[in-house]
Amino acid sequence: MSTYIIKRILQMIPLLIGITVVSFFIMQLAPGDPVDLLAERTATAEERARIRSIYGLDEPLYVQYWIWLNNLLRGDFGYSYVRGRPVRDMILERLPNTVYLNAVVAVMIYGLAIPIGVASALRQYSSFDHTVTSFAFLGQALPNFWFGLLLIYGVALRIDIIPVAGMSTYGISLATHSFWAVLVDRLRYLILPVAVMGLSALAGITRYTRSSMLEVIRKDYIRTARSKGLAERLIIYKHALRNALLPIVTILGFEIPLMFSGSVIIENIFSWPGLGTLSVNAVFQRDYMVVMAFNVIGATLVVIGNFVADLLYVVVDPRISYD
Amino acid sequence: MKFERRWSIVPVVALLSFLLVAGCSSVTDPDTGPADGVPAVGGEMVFGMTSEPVILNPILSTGTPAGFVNNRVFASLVRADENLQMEPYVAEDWEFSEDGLEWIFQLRDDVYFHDGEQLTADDVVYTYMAILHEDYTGVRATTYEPIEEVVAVDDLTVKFVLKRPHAPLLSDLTMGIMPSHLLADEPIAQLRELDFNMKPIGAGPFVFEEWRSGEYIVLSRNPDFFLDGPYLEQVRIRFYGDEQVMLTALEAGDIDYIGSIPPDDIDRVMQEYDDKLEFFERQNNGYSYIGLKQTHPILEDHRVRQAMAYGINRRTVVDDVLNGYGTVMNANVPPFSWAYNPDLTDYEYDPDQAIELLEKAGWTEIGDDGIRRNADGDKLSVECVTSTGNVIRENTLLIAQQNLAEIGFDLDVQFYEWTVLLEQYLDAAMFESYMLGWSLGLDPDAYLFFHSDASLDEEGNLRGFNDVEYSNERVDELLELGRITLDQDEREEIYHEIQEILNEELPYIFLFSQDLVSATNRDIRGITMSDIGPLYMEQWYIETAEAEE
Amino acid sequence: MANNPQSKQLTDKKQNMEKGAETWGQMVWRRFRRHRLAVISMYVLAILYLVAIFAPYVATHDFAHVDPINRLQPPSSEHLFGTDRLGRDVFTRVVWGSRVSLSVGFVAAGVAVLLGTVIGAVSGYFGGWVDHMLQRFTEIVQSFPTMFLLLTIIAIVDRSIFNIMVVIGITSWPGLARLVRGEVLSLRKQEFTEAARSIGATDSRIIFKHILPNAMAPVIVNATLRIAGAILAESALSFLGLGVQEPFPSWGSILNAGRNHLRYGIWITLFPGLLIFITVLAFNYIGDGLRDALDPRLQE
Repeated sequence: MSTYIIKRILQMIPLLIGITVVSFFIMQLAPGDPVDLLAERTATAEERARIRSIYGLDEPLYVQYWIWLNNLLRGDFGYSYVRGRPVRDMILERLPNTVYLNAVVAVMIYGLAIPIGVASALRQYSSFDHTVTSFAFLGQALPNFWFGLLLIYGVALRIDIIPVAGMSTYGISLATHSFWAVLVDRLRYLILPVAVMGLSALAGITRYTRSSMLEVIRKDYIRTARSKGLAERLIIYKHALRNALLPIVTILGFEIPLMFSGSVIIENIFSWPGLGTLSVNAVFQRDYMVVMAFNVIGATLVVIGNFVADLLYVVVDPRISYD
Repeated sequence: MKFERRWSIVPVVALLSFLLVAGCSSVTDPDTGPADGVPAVGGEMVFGMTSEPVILNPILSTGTPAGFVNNRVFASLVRADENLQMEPYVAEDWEFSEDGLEWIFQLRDDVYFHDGEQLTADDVVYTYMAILHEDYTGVRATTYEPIEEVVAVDDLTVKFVLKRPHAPLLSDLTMGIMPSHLLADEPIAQLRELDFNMKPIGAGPFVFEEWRSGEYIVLSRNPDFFLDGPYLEQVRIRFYGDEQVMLTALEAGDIDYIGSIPPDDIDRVMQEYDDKLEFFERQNNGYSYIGLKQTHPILEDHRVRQAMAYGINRRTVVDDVLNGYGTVMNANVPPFSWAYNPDLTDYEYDPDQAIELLEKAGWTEIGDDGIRRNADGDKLSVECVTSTGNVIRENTLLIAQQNLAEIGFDLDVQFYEWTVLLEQYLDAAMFESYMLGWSLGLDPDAYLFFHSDASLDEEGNLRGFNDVEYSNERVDELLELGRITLDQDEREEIYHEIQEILNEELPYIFLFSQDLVSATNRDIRGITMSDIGPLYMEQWYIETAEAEE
Repeated sequence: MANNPQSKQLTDKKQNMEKGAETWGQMVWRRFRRHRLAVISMYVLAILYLVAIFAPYVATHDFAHVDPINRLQPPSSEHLFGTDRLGRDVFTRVVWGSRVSLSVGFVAAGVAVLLGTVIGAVSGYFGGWVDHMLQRFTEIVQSFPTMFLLLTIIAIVDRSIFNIMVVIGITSWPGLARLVRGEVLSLRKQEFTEAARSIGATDSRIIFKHILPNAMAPVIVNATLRIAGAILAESALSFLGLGVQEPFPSWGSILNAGRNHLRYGIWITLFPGLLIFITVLAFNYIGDGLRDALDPRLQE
């Protein structure tokens, strides 16, 4: 097991280096020059050159990359040219809000999708199953930004207690209000973004659970268990469910990092003060350092997610061993 | 997107001194004058904004949101009063030398930064000299270029030494004074990266408390402010993703003030919320225009430019795009300015006149595509570049495009990201025409827009903002005169003549100046409103503040 | 992903079928037809594509014609989908917009299939260090969250319709590459490949003539779903203001413009969104139908 882990970690290193290379050089392809973000419009060539040297932009690209990479390894993502702030601080102050939104969504969809998917699989071809399958199909095709706008139009503009934007009411916190008052306040803000993000993700995971469960039920050992006359309930929960959940555990590893990029648009619609709004603004403003940081972090999360998923797979499934 | 709007005024901010909230002719509503109640300390007021400051540092910040916050947190040498005149603020008095080359400011002795340190001449020197430093990377160097140096005569006396007389300078001294005791040790090159920019300390009426990125900035009352007030215990500036969302928050009572109601909603909101909100309509200190490259083979003909002015229905743009909340512009000075010239050619929409002018200019043949051609067979087609994401701009251009198509003039509109537009077109001065807007300073000086020295140098670098390469000897002369003349009546004549020439020659097609309607919660009292925004926020108070406490 | 035994069966079946009364194509069609929703979807898409092709004849107005007096009119017999903020006919704009939105799917999916197939096939066929390098490259690209990568590239390229389509394509090939590689790995060991090699067929001939046709079934299914994904991606980009530029419409950009007028012009948002929804749904159903039709496990 430990040799497997070491091997996997070693494999991740070139991958992570590749990710930094792509993230860095993709921004160098952008037409124009970061100096334009820093200099006055009327700056002369000398003034521009001076700014270039202050920011180290006069070094050859590979040197710039090397410096950037070294800082990266120390957890330093550089300074935003637009805001003049450490990129790390900009990300860290937004990160909790995005994690919060995504965590609520994740808990909700896994909490709902797994039971629904399992129930649907167990009653394959029943009307319940048909309804679930149809809804899952609809949910997956629904453009979430459109759905978000319709909810704003249909709900938020009509019902005063559902706010259109933000994540909490200023001044309502545990320090001054009761737990319930805070909870109700947060829920008011969560309901629309969670509904929009949840619906499409829910659809995907329900379908996935359903097909995973169906596959397991068809397997020989379940048939054997049935033929041995074991109670259906026991078969389902003890044998089938456990095995059906295996692939679902692994997609957690993929899904969670991907949710962060999925919340880009939703945050944008509901003015959620998270990473999504930050990243879109950074792209528009050509805030090189921030965009680079986003790509590196996003990709690294995916790599780590895959790694964790692999490990989980080994942990939960005793039949698999890697040596 | 919202920040587009903020970015689109970056170049302008070089000329602008946070005027949105700094002063002009008063239109104080009798309802809210301080007379009808005794101001009491207390309460919170919430401002809504659609874009967020980038950094809070008076010498580096750009854009309205940062200007708004900086004007609360920092105090400046002078500030504008209701009549657009500069009045004492940190400086209690000033005088000019005979030749206009030395300006001496006497500072108040009771001004303290929020950390308790006294504001002295050194702080003023630091603030302005930082901009003149060669490592300075912000956008204000051009504005203060006429300054040779700033020196502290004694603790409370500052001397500005100028390279040449410069009348507009006074209205540029509205920039917040920074605490040198906190900053002087930092290299100027690294100014942009200081923590200070996120937690500014100034000497203004409100103290910076907290900034939650993407959510709000909180300011609190400065009890040691050197003038009367402030009364508001807390000021919070709340950021929204777009103006519709912000409007909904206003209607729900989550915020107490927005600077501009979207034009489409003004009438409805005024009707529905009259009992809760008070509305102020004012002009915007700026205008939108189509800049025409004066050296372009088609546009260099003065008759073609006039045909464009007659051929675009600017009235329709104001009536339909702005829902009537705007003023058609005929030159470069907005109507509320003391320098505004009301007697200019109107260029009222007249397609026949436009066609006649085009035909005179040789654009007589009409091709199968409906586009005019001249004797050489050239097409009457001009590219017009602009930035994406500004709905009013987009709508205006689409109307202009159609109007011009009807007279056989093809306006080929291209939208670019702001950064791309700047880099590839405007900074390089490589375009046929472009549409943008200027936000202006209080002074009518337009040297950087229309003087031939503000055009391209021999190497093709832009020296000012005269990217259309306009050049007129008389205008050059008048612009120079306007800068060194200190008497306002004389200056008024000078600027009237400049407007007449620009109105005739049309380096730009001047389009409109948008009127803004702001809304304020009726509970907020003591507001002085001016044509360019609310003033004297230290005097504002909440009527029910006492009852609430 | 690689369902090797099935592909093998499929190959056998294909060979058997061709000899029998029913060709492989007929068999797939017969099985596809049983998926009722997929068939309906096909008709729906056929109509939408016809509308796109004949846009100039279907449209009732000029898509760019500005008529500010008649702005924000609700749907009526004159303006089926109402008018936008500038008085332009929304129905007309949706009709013209379908050209962009519907072609995005094919071009983007085409680019993804081309890149994915070539990279996957080369990787799987040659193995060794070629495979190793290409695999690492695929992994690197796949690691980036698609939306970030898409935004980053779109922001730096000139945003013509064609570029947008291509960029969506080049951010979505890695899944296909892995799929194809898996198929190829299993196929190249099989007898017919060996046979071809023994009679001196070149590598490229073996890949393109013998292996790829046999690996196509899962690729077709995947490509159908990619089309749906690409349509969503384009509309999301347009929605963020990074799509096709005015005055040319795409469904996403019409919707984006409607965002500011929810209160007085919900129809501007409603109709293009509905069409994106229907189109994506239809491609998903067809993908599903194809999967069933091409899946040899589901025997009759």
